[in-house]
Amino acid sequence: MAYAIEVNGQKRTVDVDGDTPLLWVLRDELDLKGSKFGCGAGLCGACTVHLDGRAVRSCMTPVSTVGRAAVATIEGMAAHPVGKRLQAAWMELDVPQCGYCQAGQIMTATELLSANPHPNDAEIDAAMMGNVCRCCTYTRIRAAIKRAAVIPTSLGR
Amino acid sequence: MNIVSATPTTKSAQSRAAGAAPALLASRRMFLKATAIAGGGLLLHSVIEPLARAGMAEAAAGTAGDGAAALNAYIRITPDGIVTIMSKNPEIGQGIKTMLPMVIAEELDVDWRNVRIEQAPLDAAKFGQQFAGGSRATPLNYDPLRRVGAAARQMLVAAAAQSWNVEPSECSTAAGLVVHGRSGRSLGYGALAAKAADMPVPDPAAVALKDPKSFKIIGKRLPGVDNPQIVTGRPLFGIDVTVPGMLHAVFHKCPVFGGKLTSANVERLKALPGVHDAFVVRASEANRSDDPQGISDGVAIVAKSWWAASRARERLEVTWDEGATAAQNSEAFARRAGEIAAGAPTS
Repeated sequence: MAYAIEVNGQKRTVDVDGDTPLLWVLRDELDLKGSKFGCGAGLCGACTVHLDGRAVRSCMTPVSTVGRAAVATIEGMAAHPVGKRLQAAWMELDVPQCGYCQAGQIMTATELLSANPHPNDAEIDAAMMGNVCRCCTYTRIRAAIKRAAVIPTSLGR
Repeated sequence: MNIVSATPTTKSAQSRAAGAAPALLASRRMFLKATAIAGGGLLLHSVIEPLARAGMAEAAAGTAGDGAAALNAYIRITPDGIVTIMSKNPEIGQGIKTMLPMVIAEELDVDWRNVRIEQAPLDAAKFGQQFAGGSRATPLNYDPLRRVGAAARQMLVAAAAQSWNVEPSECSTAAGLVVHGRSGRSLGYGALAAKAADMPVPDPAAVALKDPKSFKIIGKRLPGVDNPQIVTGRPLFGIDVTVPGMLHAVFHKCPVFGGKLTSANVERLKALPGVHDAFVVRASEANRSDDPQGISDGVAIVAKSWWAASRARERLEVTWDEGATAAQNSEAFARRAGEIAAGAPTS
């Protein structure tokens, strides 16, 4: 059936079964390939997107449950005041290695930094622990979050 | 040892294979060849030479529609001076897509800011061995790719010298320019590229290499070339590739190595929404070479989306003849190991 959802500020309509995870709606129906399929079970965080600013695992979020919540993905972060600072910090510190998990990392970090503008190490680790990185970029992720916390918004790309 | 080639048969769905054509397998022969190289130091002329020559073989391809001149398989230069360098190996997070072009750019003597990097397609005739594994990319490619860059630089110098009617030895290069010091003239690589592509292709073994003391790119810490795509979520990985009319499939295989499929409800699966086809795959037919890593018995479900295929798999009813392997277990292995260890040594 048809579902009208708001993605990165745009109204979109998709015709899919209600149990289709938001991840596959984004990737295959809306051609937004930034959110990644990792485990399909909410364990790895590669598929993390925002619903009304809250980080959720899109692989476990049926499209029928999205309703009127605003969906934000990595493709929308360049227009997000916190997201764009994180993207700039990620570039500055050369965080990615293979890069597959990094969209999810940035989405979770955006939620963290939006709620807590200057997190300490323990707060970063607690917020980020659900996003795993096979390349183990955790040290630079932590540094980039701290860097983003002090980048003026105007310097974000 | 872990070998990953950019092929659909490896487990690296996350390998950044976008743009890579299907299919060169990391063959057993290639593996053995690479292993032999890793173990010894006698490869200089047998391996480095063919690699650099493979890169040169594509030289003088002339100018393309965008005015880009190909100096060899790795290097294209457009009239605006932008240099596109092919990166030959699969990028899996080790940074090779950035590093290998750095080596070429150094000897070509260009400003890194004017370099664009493209993932090379799989084409061993053009690019030599293309795989990731065993930390061998730098030792195997460092010298040959320096020569690829140096040979192209020599062709650009030859083109400029001919334009000025001077000896190439009177010319030098700096950051994308050929300079004739005595007369103060200079020409950009962009202006020279088309003419350079018609110059004789140098012998890669004989080209002059830079003194490492003058390196401007090698040894510098440069960010990964794919970082902009990664942090903004633009398509990059194998899983992100789409082609017109693309369908998605799941393959459900026997849980036991060597097991045989006895029945599957494929007709019922075919009737499910979004499913285009469902069929049994027989290892005996699909895997004639008896490759132990080859495909095993199973059921393929092809659908309009991965989700539709995955949902259909939940409705799959399949039975297997798991064969003798199903009776194997860790306890039996340990018991057998103990028996062997207690026995007399055999040669």
